[in-house]
Amino acid sequence: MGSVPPSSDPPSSENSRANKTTEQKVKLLLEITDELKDRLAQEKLYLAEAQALSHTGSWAWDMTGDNPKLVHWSEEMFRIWGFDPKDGLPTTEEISRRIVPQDLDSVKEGLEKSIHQKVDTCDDFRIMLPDGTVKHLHTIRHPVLNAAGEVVKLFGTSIDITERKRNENALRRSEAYLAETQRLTHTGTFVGDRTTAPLYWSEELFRIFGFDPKDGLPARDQPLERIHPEDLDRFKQSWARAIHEKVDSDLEYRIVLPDGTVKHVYGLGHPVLDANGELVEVVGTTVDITQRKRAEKERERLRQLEADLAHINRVSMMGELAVSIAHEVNQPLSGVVSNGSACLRWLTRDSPDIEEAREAASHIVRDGKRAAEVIARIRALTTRTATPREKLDLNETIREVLALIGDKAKRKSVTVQARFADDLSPVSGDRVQLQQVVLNLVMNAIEAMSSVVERARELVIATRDDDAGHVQATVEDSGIGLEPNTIGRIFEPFHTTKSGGMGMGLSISRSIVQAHGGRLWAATKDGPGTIFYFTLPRWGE
Amino acid sequence: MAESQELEPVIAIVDDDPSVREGLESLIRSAGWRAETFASAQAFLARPRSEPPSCLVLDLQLPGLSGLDLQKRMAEVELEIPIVFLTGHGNIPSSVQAMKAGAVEFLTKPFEEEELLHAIEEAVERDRHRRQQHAEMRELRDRYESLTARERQVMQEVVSGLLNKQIAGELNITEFTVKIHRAHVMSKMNADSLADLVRMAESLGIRLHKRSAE
Repeated sequence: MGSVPPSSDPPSSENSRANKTTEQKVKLLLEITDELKDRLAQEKLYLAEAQALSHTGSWAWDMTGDNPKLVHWSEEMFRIWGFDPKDGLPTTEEISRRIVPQDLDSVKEGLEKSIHQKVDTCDDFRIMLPDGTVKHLHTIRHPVLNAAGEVVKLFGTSIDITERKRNENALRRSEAYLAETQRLTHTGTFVGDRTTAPLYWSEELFRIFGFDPKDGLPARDQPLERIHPEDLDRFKQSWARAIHEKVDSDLEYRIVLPDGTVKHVYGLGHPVLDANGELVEVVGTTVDITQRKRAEKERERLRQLEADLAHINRVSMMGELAVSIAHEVNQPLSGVVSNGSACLRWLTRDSPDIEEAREAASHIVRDGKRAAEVIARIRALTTRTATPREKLDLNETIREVLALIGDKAKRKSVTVQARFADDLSPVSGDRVQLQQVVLNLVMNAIEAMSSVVERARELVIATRDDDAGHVQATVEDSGIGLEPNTIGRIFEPFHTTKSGGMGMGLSISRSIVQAHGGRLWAATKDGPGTIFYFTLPRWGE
Repeated sequence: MAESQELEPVIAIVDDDPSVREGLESLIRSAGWRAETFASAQAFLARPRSEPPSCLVLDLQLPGLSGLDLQKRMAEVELEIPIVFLTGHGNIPSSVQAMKAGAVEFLTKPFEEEELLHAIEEAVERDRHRRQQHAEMRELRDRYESLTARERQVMQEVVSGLLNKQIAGELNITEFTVKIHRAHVMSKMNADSLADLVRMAESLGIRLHKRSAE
């Protein structure tokens, strides 16, 4: 641009031109001028279109005067800056006012530098149009010097990069989100070729494998070297499956960092195929599940601990009940012995009485079964392993417990009343655990009444379907009752009022009931004593 | 066991546990006694008083009124039935208390058949003896009742060791009359000797004449 357009005439026309008349010369000149004008107009049009297409405006300042004077401000400049070409060239003041104040200093700095240091400068800044639109511009400045080396003109271009900026920002944001997400979920992304050589690794994957992204993609074997030797074969098999069978393949494996840290990861590879179904690459994710694994282990340990505690609680209650239980076994055994003796006597009489002997023998069978049932109940209650949830009749579940504590209650002069609702809805539960809850509540109730002498020691255990659609059981005593300020603390572990107690009974009972989807709470009664409630969801709900 | 003419003695069983109760009943009947069973002390007390059992086989731990409570209650109402206690677990203070209060035996379940049957036999024997004594006492009392007021006076003086002469002086009657009264007393009381009469007076709780104490 800016070069003189070549003449349409051949260079050899100089002689002939000299022979031509002035009129001819003028005519020729006019023709040339017209042609040049046309060409120039054409070029201008091209330039304007190019500027519009590339959102690039051009400008020029004349620097020869006292103040710089704007001498060129392309059509695109008007459009970008929101000036109307009809108003003529904008003033320095008008231009400055459109530059976002925060960016004004850097613009001035760039200008000064180009003028004084006579170098090209470029810089990005924002302008704000009267309607509030903000645009990002990229400006390049070029000083034009005369023979004396003085700046005579300052040329420049301004590119509207708003859209690019917006795209860039969107991209940067989405990349940031992705990186953040990967960090949060400990998920790395990879793309690899069929030999497992990395083609792309996300930042998080570098972190998981303990490589520095600054060192670039690791070589093919580097990540493999970090896979736990015991898991390497499985990893290779899994990868082979993805590339040969062309299916998604996943695997849990361990990686060992140079410092000895072991990480548990979950990898998932997806084969990417071309139109012919040929493998192009494998894309996948690697998730660091070390924490999850650790939490799982911790949860399992806690669960085990809780089960152990519950078991200890049951066994220790069985210990407290040993005398009572022995009695409950002894009773039917007494029956067996008596009936056995009687049976023999009926048979060995001078005139044997078969009918009496038969009846005595049938009593032996009945009593023997009864003793076996008591023992089975105790064995179930002292078992360590969890029993499965089943459909339970809560009345029956409670009745079995009452059978074990009958003698203890008797010796403590406690009368036990069972007020069971007929047609009680069945519940879903672990029989042993629920019996443990009842046992804890009943033993506590008996304990709470041990110092009562001035009134009857009454234990009332009742069941009903409550209004909220749950099955409710209550255990009520006429004991010393609870202080209002301790009633909330009794369910805390190690809270005990008993000298020999561990203080775990109620805490364990509450977690059992909660694990069943129910609630366990206590309330003081109007009269002396305490009432414990627990609710359980109905079977199938 | 018992005399074939009479009905066999009745053994009462009080135990709240059906297995124990029915086992005992069967065993006791197989040994030839009659048996009555009760599930509680209250039920036993509500039993009609006629023909009291000869022995009570009683559980120590009963709901409501305990075995020891029943023993005490029976003593209060002078229901003298020998008791064989049964307990689920050896409880020394209770057994001592029961034995002191006159129990025949204190057995721990499950008990030896022979132990129980022996204890019941002993109880029945005690009861028979007691009934016999009771019958004798009643007879003695009947005989004493048959004496006239004067004869009772004479009897009291005689057993107090007074001579006929002294009695005559005391009662202001002739010695001969004293002798006649004395003969009547000996005959009515069916006494073989003076020593026999003294023993009877003792059984009847007759206070000795004041003078004898001097």
